[in-house]
Amino acid sequence: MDGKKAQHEIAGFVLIVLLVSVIGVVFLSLLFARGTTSEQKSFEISRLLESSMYTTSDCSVNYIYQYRDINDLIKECYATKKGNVRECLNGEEVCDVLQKDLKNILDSSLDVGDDSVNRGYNLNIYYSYGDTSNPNEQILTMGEGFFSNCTSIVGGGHSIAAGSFGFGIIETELKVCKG
Amino acid sequence: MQLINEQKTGVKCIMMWDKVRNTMGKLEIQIQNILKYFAPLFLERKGQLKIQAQNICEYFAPSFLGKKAQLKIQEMAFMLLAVFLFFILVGMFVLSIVYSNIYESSNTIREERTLSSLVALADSPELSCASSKSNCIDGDKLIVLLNNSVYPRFWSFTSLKVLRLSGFNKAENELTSCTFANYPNCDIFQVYDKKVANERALSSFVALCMKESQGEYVYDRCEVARIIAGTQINFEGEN
Repeated sequence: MDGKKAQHEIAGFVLIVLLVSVIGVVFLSLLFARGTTSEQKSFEISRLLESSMYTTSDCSVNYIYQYRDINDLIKECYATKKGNVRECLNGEEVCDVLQKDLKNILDSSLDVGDDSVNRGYNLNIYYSYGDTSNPNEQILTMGEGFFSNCTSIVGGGHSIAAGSFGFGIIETELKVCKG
Repeated sequence: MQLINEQKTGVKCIMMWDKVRNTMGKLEIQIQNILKYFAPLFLERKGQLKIQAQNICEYFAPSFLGKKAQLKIQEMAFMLLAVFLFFILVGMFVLSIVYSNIYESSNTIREERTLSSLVALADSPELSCASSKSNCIDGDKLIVLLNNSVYPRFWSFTSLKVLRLSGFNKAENELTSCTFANYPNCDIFQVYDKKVANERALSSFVALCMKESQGEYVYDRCEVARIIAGTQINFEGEN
């Protein structure tokens, strides 16, 4: 009688051990399956950023036909943020033109939407001094769509030599949420 | 006479004492003999008792002591099982980390290799921008390449086209192909297409620059475009 009771207890214990193991394995596999949401570097995104930098805008600052590209507009926008306000000859703010043009490029290129492969994107442009003592200075931040429940996040970056602004560099970082 | 009587009495006493002594000796012998006869029986019984006790232990101990040992063995087996499962989980944890990194690296390398071939194509002298911009295609060079029968044999790609930003969100039948007549008001440059079966298209973003003029001023107007190159997939058993 006691022997059978002990056997039942042992069988129960074995079942519990197996159950806990199976749950552990399932939990770990789910954890690592979802691990793909970690950010991955994408050369395609970096190429998109690089190509975007060459895009010619309708903003000219000094001379009517000298249209600035996105690369120049980022520098002009940074100069504006530093207090040296620059405007396009048509009266628009350079930062507004920069944001409008970048939004147009990224919206068309990435085709963001709920039914699309790309659920959303985040663009971050900042000036980096290249050391830890000086914090980064934000130039432009913008985004579109939803940046949640991503199956994966791909990102790319592009650096611009700041030139007259010192030894730092202007970094552009784009992250795309894949649905 | 009295002395003789006393001597006789003395002799009798001695004789009696000897008798007693003999009797005592006999008694001792008798006891020894008795012991000789009965002691083995007693000792054997004692031995038999021991054997019986052992037999009793043999009969009853396995049901008690044996179960305890079995429980201990089972405990050890479960412990070993738990340790085994623990190490399996740890191993899976480590392998997942290692293989996720390898998988990520392989994808990155594959993508890089594919894109580098397209970037090399964009940077080739036939397509590159005059302003020495990397990853930039000159639209004016591209329009000259259209309908040229030499280039399908020059490049290893089975098809080559460049899609302008204006055509990014359009369906294929809505795209306006670029010709000398409608350039630059068009959506896609169809450089060539060998029209092969099992074609896989690779694409990458490039800058597409074209000369524009306003009055007397000529400048480069650049935009984002997508270069799309096709490669034929060879399945197993196919040449």
